[in-house]
Amino acid sequence: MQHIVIVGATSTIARECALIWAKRPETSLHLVGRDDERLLAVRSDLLVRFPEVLISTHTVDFLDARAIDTLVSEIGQSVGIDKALVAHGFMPDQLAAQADLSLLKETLEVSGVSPILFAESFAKHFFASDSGTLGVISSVADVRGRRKNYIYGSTKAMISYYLAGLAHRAFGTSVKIISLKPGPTATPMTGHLPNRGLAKASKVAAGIVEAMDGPTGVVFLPKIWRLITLIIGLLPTRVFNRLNL
Amino acid sequence: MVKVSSWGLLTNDEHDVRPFSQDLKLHNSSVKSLAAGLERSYGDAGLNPDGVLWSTTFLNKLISFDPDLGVLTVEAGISLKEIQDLFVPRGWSLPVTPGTEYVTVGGAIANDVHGKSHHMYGSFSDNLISLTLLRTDGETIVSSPEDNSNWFWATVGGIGLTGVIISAQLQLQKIPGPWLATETLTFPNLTEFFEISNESAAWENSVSWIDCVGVGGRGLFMRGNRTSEIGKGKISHSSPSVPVTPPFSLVNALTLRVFNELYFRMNSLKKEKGLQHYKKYFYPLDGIQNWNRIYGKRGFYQYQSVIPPESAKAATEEMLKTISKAKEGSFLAVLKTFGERKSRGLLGFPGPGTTLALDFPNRGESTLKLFDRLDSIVLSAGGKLYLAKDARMSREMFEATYPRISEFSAFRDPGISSAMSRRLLGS
Repeated sequence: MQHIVIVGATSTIARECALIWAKRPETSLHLVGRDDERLLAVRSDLLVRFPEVLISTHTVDFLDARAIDTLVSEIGQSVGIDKALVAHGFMPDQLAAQADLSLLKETLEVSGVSPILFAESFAKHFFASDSGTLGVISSVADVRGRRKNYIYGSTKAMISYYLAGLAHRAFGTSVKIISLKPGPTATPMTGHLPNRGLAKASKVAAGIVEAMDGPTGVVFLPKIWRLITLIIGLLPTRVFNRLNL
Repeated sequence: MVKVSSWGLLTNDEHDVRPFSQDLKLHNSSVKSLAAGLERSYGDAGLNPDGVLWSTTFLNKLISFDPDLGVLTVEAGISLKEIQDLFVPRGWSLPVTPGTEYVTVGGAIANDVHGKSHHMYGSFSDNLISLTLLRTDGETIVSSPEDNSNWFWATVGGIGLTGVIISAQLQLQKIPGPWLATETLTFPNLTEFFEISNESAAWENSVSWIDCVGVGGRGLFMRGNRTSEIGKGKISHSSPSVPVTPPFSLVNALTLRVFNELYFRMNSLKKEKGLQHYKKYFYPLDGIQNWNRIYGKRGFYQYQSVIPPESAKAATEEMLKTISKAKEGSFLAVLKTFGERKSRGLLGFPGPGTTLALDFPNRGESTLKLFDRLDSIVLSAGGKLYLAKDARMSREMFEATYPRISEFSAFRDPGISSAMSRRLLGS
């Protein structure tokens, strides 16, 4: 039996990942979220589709370091975790977050601090047993601070930086660290109807699931974003600051 | 703001598109809003220019399934495709689906859609056990034909104006397998169409393609029954797409004549009996993504009418004659005789009679004038037009053909409005 923990399981991309994993035989899913009712709705949905799959749900305060650590070690001790996906994030309206410091704080905490708390807790578990795959959803928004999205972008830059260090630490061990960088994806967070040039959440999810079967690395979803972010990263600041991005 | 078009691509106006979630305080919005699904309504039923569109496609979870009774409860933003893909392999199907699977359950209810099985299973609402409505004042109303039935029949076919449909309980049908045993019969004129149609009452599904170029009304009658037999051939899950919208319509008087001739001849030569996968039989156009682009930048109209049995033949003949003379129309022309069941929705469409549905490339004034002539045929024959397809019917025509409008208006949600409601209901 393979045990997969999904944090932020009610998010669109996480749900799509769960749908793919649930198709695999001998898989047990452990869904972690903040809201019990919404978690149970995700669980019911999976169970109607795949009546055979084993699913547990867990609620926790996403900013309570001790509670997070306790939950991860409880799941780890009871079943042993093979894979963990940290999927939550929060993109505010940039202008609103500039105007409202408490919204700014909430963004930094929910999108930056919280995923790292989970990641470090899973890392502790994985390094102790010298096994396991940790995937964390960062974003291509991490590449460069830009006026339209620098608050959300800075949380993702923090996650990417952190994951680079974690991957370094994992070198020479059997622990795999996957930094997942989706481009703009059609989710409620992006607030648009589907089919507007945004990647489909199901496609991004398929890429995540595939990447989490592979080795440590940074994965762009879709792949073209590796090139786009490379170019954006290489632009001289004088040129970049003139662009309306 | 995002530009949104409906399936007919006639307009492309700015909308404030917001993801719908139940946490949203709908009533905090001072601007009028409308729930949107997959935008497959052809006209303006799903549009709300300069207003809010609640995108419901993320409201797509399955809530429960009872495998003994075949009762499925879902959130309303889920597509019929997702339901069919999941349940057909398990031996269950939606009994009523329209010609595309790319509609949401909420949209199917709001338009009380019908399909090739109407004469057997009625419309979508005939297989709907209950629905949950969220009003913009925050009130939740659960309704069924038994409880709160007035809300149920206002919402069914109510083009989204009674509130946001958030969940529904559906009755699925046990099926022997994903294939249909089909027969394709040619008919040289409408007289024979009606004869075959009468003989085919025992067939579970039937639909006809009709050639709108000639005056005779020749066509192909396609009927099918579910079967446990398994046909040959793979059903591909990826489909080709019309990649761009051409500047002008690829459907014109010449291409139409050629296509219809070929289509009719090829199908007359084909074996009469065969096996067809349900996807190919029920949703042939889903095989080509964005097929609506073939009509070019100006978009297209679909004109769908239903004419009561007593005047069906004469009126259909007259409509075909008028269309042929105008040299308009398209190869997408469909004729079907509905069953006895009348939609009980206050603004429901299907009912006893014959329905004709035709695409028309938008050629501006000449197309609209043709519709006026068709309208007068429909009116004097006691028929009406289908709101899910309409983009241009006059308010007078609507009021003359939908007798329960004032009853319906009492159930409208004051926070909801659409381009169609403003056009046909005045607000």
